[in-house]
Amino acid sequence: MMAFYVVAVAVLLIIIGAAGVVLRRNPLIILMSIELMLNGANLILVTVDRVSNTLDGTLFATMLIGIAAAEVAVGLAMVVRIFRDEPVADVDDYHTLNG
Amino acid sequence: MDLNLLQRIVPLIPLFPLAGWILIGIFGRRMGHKSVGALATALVFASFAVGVFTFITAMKAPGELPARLIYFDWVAAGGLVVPIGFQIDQLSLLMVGVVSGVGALIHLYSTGYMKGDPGYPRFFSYLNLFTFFMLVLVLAENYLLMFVGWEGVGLCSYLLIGFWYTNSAPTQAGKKAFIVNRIGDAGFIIGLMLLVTSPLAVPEHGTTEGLRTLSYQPLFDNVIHLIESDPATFTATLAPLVTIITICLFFGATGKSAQLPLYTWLPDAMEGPTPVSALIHAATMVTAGVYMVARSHVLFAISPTTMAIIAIVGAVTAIFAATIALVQTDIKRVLAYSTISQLGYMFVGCGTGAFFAGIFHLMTHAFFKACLFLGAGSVIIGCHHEQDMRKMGGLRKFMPITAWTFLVATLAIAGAPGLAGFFSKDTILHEAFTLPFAAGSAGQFAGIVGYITALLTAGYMFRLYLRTFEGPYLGDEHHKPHETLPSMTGVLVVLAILSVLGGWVGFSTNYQQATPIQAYLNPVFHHGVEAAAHYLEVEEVKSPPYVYMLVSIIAFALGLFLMYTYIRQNPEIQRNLKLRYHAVYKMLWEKYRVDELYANLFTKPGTWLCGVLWKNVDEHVIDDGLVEGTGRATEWLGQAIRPMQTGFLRSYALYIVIGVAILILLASV
Amino acid sequence: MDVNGPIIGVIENVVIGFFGFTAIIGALILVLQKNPVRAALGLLLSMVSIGMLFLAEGASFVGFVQLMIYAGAIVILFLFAVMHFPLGRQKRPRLPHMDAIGFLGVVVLGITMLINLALIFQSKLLASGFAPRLHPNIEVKNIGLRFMDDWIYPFELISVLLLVGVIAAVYITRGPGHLKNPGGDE
Repeated sequence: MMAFYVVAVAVLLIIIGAAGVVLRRNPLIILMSIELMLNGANLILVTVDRVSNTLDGTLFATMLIGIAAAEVAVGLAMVVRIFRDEPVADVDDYHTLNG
Repeated sequence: MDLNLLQRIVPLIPLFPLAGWILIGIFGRRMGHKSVGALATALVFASFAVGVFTFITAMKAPGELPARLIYFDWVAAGGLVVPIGFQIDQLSLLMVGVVSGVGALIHLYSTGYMKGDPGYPRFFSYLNLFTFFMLVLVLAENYLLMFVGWEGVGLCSYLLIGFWYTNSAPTQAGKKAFIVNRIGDAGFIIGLMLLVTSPLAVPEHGTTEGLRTLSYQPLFDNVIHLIESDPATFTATLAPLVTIITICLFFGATGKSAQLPLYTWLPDAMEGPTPVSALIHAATMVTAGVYMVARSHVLFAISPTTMAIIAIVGAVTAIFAATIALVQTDIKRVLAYSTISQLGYMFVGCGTGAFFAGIFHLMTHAFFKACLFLGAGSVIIGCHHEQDMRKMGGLRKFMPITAWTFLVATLAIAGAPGLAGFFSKDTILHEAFTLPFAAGSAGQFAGIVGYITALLTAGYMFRLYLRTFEGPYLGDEHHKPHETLPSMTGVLVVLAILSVLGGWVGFSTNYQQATPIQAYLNPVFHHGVEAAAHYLEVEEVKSPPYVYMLVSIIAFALGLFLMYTYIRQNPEIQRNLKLRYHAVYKMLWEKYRVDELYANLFTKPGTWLCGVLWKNVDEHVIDDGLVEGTGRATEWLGQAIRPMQTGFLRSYALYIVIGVAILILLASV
Repeated sequence: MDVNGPIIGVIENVVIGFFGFTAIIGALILVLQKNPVRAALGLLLSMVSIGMLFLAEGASFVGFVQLMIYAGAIVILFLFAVMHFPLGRQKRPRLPHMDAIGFLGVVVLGITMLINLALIFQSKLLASGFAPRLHPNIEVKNIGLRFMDDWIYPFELISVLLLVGVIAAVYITRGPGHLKNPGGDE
């Protein structure tokens, strides 16, 4: 029963993370929300592992952490580069790749 | 009989002229006209020589015929095996003799006729190619190989009719010949397809048991076996199919042999050089239909309906063409319609069950018709390319050899007693009344029509001779005609001699016995014909030929007399006669307006349909609708989706979220 | 769950419940705060809570990895980046309707996910409780063995990915020019 509670928490984290990605305009907040969603996914993976006594999910979650680290590095580098000289960081200012 | 020897030398018969086509085709211009002509003629003579040798070898042991010489498997698919092979029997040897013999003579004649023509090498290469295909056609041991020859001669006919392609009339005529032929070929192919998919083509015993075959021997043996072992079942199940197959095959024959309704190409084919008319449209290609019917006699003899159709079509065509020939003024046209008419006789022979008689007439006709056409060619050259009879007359003074050979051939075709045509035509008409293979009284009908046509034949042929060679000279005074080259007149003499002597193989003193030609061809036909007679439960009646001979002679004499009297009349009386019967005369002159009928019935709607398909379907529907339409639809779709690309990060994130939601929904359902 | 009796079981449940609650709180802080520093701290709270949850479940390896890397490195990195940015006044949103539509979209996602969640509520698997906790050493050992056995390929690829990430991050921030003159001026 507790396992279900943990999974429910993870699902909520994902939803909240999605809300953060779609609704916030600060690029850093968006990146952090993405991290939040990844964590939610990790939580589900490990929980399922723990109830079924396998290791595959744990391994995958470990790798996801690694991937997330690399992604954060690159993502932050991009954000820093783009918004370096802006007075206010607003993702909506950049929309020239349209049409 | 040494089959090994035959296996090695028989292919030479068609291969000699094939080599001629290749060599002359490639090196013709460099060889020079004299060498080209000599080579082409020599090759066909060589084929004839090999044919004679084969004949002698085969006749030493006639009991071993037919000899099937198989070389290799051509088609081996889906249970059907078709080899490349030749069949040597009395029929094919006779055909080889006619084709290569008369062909060689015509090649020799052409060296003189085509002298000075810039297309000389091309002509001989085509002529050799034609000879090759025709020999393949008659030597083939199965329907498919025969069809190769069949198509090939059609192609060569097109090439040779349209030989002088810089003018529009020959090219139109060539097209017409090929297309009309093709229509017949469609029927032929349907017949073959029905044949090969039917149980007839699966022999129940023999070397090809269980396999489908199109080879004559296994096929016909199987049919005979079927009708002998279980006639009742055969009548119930397969007889209708055989009737349909034979009708389809005969339709092909009407195209190739210029019978109703597919004869219209032959008169137009006279646009080609005269040797072409002699070889292809008198002696050989047009006889392919008759040969095919004779070869397939087993199939035809057991379908009385088809036989009746053949006999009636042959007879009606004969009289139809003869009436038109009566009023034509171009010498080649008269001879063209005469050919159509005589081919009708051959089909009457086959249709009534006297296959040997049809082939006999084929042979004699080759002799005298070739002589007539080549004689006409001689006249044309001698009169400086004039073909209209009204500008000739009294040519006997200028061209004696041509005149005498032409007279002999005319008498032969008209049925003068003792000459070739008499025996062959008489045999056909006699058998028409006595043989029981055509349903109902088709035989009698054909016979009566045949006698009337004989009268007309004598009439129009004599008209041709008299107007051309006798009487006052009506041509150009300053360009008097002259006799032609020995290469041409020599051939005329040979053919004239054959026209005299060739018929005597059809003569026997005792009417109960078979004539030499009948005895010769009997081994080919008699098994099938007897089996058919037994199956149909009919009997052949032997009757004395004297009455029939008498009627033939009367027809000939009457026709000759009437025409002679008419020609000798005062021009006034001739004109009055023409005026009185003006309507009839006009109808004959306009050839019963058949060409116009076909144009209105088929050509105009066809052209209209093409126009509709072009303008409406091709341009509007396909070009505008489908091709352009696809482009326009794609463009529209692109523009419709374009607003999705906003450039804003947040809307893309939203799309992802929505997509994931949908995926989860689908996964959980 | 383990042999130490029901009181331990109760403590576990309380711990899990508490940290689950704080994880959600942290997430809400992250998403709702205007101040990016405060948002980053919310993220930190969430990360630590999740790490605790891992530990409470008995996945010691992942739990410590989570605490070390996520809470200890990534969040720090975020804080550095946040400090780099001046805090300006947020303008009026360029796409005001986007907020409403986005909210709706997220609501749709939430509904589908919660429906899914409800469907797996009956799952026997989840009702069975957490599996017996493995001894931490053995657990790590097993993970290591599996990594070197079935999962060697992804394992190596992750290393490459991290290398690529490092290079990409350096390159993106510093631009191409610096590659041409390595010891040269900025």
